[in-house]
Amino acid sequence: MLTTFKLKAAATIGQNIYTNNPDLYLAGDDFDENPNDGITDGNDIPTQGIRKVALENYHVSGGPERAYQIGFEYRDPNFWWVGVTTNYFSNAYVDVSNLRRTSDFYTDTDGLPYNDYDEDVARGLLKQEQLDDYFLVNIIGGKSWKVKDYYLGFFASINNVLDQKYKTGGFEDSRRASYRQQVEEQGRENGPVFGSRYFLGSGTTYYLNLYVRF
Amino acid sequence: MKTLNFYKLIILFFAVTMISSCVKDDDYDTPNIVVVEPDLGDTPVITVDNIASAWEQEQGNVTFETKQYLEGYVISNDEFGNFFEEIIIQDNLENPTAGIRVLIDENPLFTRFEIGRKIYINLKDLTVGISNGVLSLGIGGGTYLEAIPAPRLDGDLILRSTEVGTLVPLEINLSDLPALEFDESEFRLTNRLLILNNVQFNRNDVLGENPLTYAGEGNDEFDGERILESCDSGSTVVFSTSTFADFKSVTMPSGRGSVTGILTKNFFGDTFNFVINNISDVNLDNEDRCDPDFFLCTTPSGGGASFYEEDFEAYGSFSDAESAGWTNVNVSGGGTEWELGNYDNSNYAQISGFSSGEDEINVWLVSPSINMDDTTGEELLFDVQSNYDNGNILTVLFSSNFTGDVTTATWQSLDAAIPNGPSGGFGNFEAVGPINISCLDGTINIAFLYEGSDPSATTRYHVDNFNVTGN
Repeated sequence: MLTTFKLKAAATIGQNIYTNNPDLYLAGDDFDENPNDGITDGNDIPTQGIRKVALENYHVSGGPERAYQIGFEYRDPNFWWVGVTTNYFSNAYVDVSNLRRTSDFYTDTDGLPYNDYDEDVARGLLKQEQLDDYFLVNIIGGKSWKVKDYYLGFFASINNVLDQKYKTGGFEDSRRASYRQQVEEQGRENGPVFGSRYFLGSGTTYYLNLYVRF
Repeated sequence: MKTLNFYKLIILFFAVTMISSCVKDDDYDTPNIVVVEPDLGDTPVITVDNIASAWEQEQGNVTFETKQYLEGYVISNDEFGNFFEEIIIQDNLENPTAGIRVLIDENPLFTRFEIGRKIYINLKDLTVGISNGVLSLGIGGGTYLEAIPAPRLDGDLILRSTEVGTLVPLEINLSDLPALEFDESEFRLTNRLLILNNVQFNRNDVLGENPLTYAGEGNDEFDGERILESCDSGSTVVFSTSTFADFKSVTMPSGRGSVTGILTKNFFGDTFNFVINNISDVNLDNEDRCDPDFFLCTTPSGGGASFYEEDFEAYGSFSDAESAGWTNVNVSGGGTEWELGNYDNSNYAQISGFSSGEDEINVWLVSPSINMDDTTGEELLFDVQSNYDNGNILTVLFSSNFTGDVTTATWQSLDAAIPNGPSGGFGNFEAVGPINISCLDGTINIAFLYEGSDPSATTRYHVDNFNVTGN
């Protein structure tokens, strides 16, 4: 048996963005061309339920766009081995709310923009949230013995050794989608009541496997 | 070798494409604002001026049975609580000729109908009438106009135009405001955005140790009423602030300058009120006030008994009063003089420059000598009735060296608030004073000076119940 020592590195860099502004179809009982004519028009998707969603150049949410890894692996002639990898993830974005990026965002009930609508403020409210970068360190190792005709061994791994708290993704809420509601939500002192929801990564996890081969 | 170069080229091209196609994070789109002017269709549109004329023609409430739109620009703002459940609109952004108050049972309203916004109100089933003395729009049928129920706002009651203009307040002089006589046709002056230049709050409100707040005093009920006065004419108007206004506890500024606001009337509709949207409309920062140079006593006064009084009852004509020591002289040389008036079995001193044909009228009425040495804490009180008022032209003065000739004596003004009266009729006798004259000693004479000019300043005054009290 030879001693082996492997050093490895990998990287991936990408950018996933929407390249146009698609249509959003909304269905509802309240769509009615002439609310005062006494006739309920019902589910009026063709004239009332279609909106353009301003999605161009927002990131598609699907995990980090950039990842880097560096690690090593050591195998000893005495039948044990250990590997350590360090991973760095960045440029992950939450999934944007579509309704928040339609005309419904800025229109008051009469179809005119809110009289306090400010495009610069709106731009700030509609900025896509980028999740924090995070570091993960993983250790894996094992050993085996030969007892008569049997092989006895174990391997163990510890993921996220540094117990890093991290978010892998998330999505915006569409419940409070208008400009004034977002000004209220994002201006709250202790964070929004209906804010984005996130997918959280695990803390440090341990795994141990014992085996007998015969 | 050539293949290698080819691959290199492809890789280079690929890399350049990749990098140049990257998008910076703040390049994202936002919803495109599309603004569409409301579609009024064939519905007729009338102006505020038209609706005011409709009331004037009818001389009573007018209810609209067909759909038509009233157009106007919003001039009131309920953001700061000084207006509540009402929008005031006027016909033009500048030089308004008429305005109307729209009663709506909804708060807040500024979030949709902000200042300068052009709006169209569907008049169907609404009634225009005079409410609280101003032209108002609401639901008729009862004794009073009722506010339009809030759910109607969800329908097509009010359409907003995309136009939001800058209002130019109309400059007026306080002396142009007529005295009110409960005449409902006087509404045209009100409900417009005005600017009053060269004005200040009355010295009794803002000078001294405890300057007043806008409406946060213990005795302010519903509204805080203060006196705003013109430095040019001395005319005054009631400056009214709701006790629900956000700024009610702010101390009023003591300087002089300009104030922008809406002319309206008080709850009873019998007095002009000037109402602001917010304190940013008050620009009284010139410290140079225009208070008259009054002689003021600071020694304590009051609580005394009358030791000199004159009610003119003993005289058969004014020459009798002159024989009793009163001096009556027109120093301009005209014929206008004080005379004895009588009404309801009460005599009084009366003067009027009306139809005198004299363009300069300066008439003195000087009291007999009053000895101030035997008393302390003296005060001066008298009653004045102002009639056919076209200017506040009566002042009260005193002299310590009057010997019969008003032109050689030294006179100083006393702080007497002569009441304003109606322009077209008789007012009521109102008490003036008590004026603190406790720091005067020796022998003094008190004078009433009438400074008129026919026909522009000919207010008719009646003076009675002249009293000096002391301990």
